[in-house]
Amino acid sequence: MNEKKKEVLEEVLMEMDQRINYGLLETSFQNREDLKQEIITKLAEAVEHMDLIPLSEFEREVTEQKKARNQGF
Amino acid sequence: MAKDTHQNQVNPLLEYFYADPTNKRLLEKKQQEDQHAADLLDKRFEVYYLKVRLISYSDKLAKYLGKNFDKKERKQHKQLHLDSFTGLESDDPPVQQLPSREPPVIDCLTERIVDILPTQRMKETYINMSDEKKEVLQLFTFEQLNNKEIAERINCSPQNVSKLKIKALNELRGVEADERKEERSVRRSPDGNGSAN
Repeated sequence: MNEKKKEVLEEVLMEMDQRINYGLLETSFQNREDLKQEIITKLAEAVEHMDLIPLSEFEREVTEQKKARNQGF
Repeated sequence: MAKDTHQNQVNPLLEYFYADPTNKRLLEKKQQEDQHAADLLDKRFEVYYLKVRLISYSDKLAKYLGKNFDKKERKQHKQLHLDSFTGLESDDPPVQQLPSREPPVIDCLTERIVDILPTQRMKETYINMSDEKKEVLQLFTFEQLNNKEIAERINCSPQNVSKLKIKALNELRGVEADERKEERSVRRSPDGNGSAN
C-alpha cells in the first residue's frame, strides 16, 4: 500500500475508534470486536482503491459540477 | 484567486479545509503565485480528502453492520416463536390451520407411530395406510432419516419418498383438523355438552 495511504488509514483508525464503537453500540458486546475488525478490513480494502485527489483537480470538478447545474437550470 | 475564495464559500469541504490556519496561509501564498505553496496545498488536500472519504465510509460501515446485526437478532427472536400456537382458532382451511408440529421423536420409550398419535381416529387412519407410507413415516420419525436415506432403504426414488411422506402426513393432519373443527363446533353450540364425541 502507498505510504501516504497507509499513514492516513492508521490516523483515521485511531481517530475513528470511538466513533466505530459508538456506531456499533447496539450490537452485542461479544460481536462488537468482530464487527470492528470487519470494518478495519473493509477500510483497508477501500483505501487501496481510492485515488489521491489534489486540490486543483477537486476544485476543477467542483467548478464543472456547478457549471453543469447552472446549465441544467 | 477570486475563484478560490468563491469556491471555498460554496463548498463545505473546502470551507472546512481552509479553516485550518496552515492551509489558509498556504492559500494566501498560492494566491501570490507561490508555486511551492500551491504544491504543498495540493498534497495536504490529498491527505485531507482521503481522510474525509475514509471517515464517511467507516461511519456508513458501522451503521450498516450495526443495523444488519440487529436484523439478524430480530430474525432469531422471531424464529423462537415459530413453533408456538398460531391461528388454529381461525376459520382457515384445515391444512393451513395445522401447526408445523411433528410427532415427538425424543420419547425413547415410544417405538411405534401408532403410540404417539393423540386420537383414536388418527390411529385408525394410520393403521389403514399402505405399508409403504407407514414405513416412510416410521423411518422419518424414529430413525430421523432424510428422503434420500429412506429411498435407499426402501428401494425407491427420493421424490417418491417425499410424495409418500407428504400424503401420509396430510392424511393425519386432515383427520386432526376435522377433529379440532368438531371440537370447536361442540364448544360453540349453546347446548354442546360433548354429544359430538
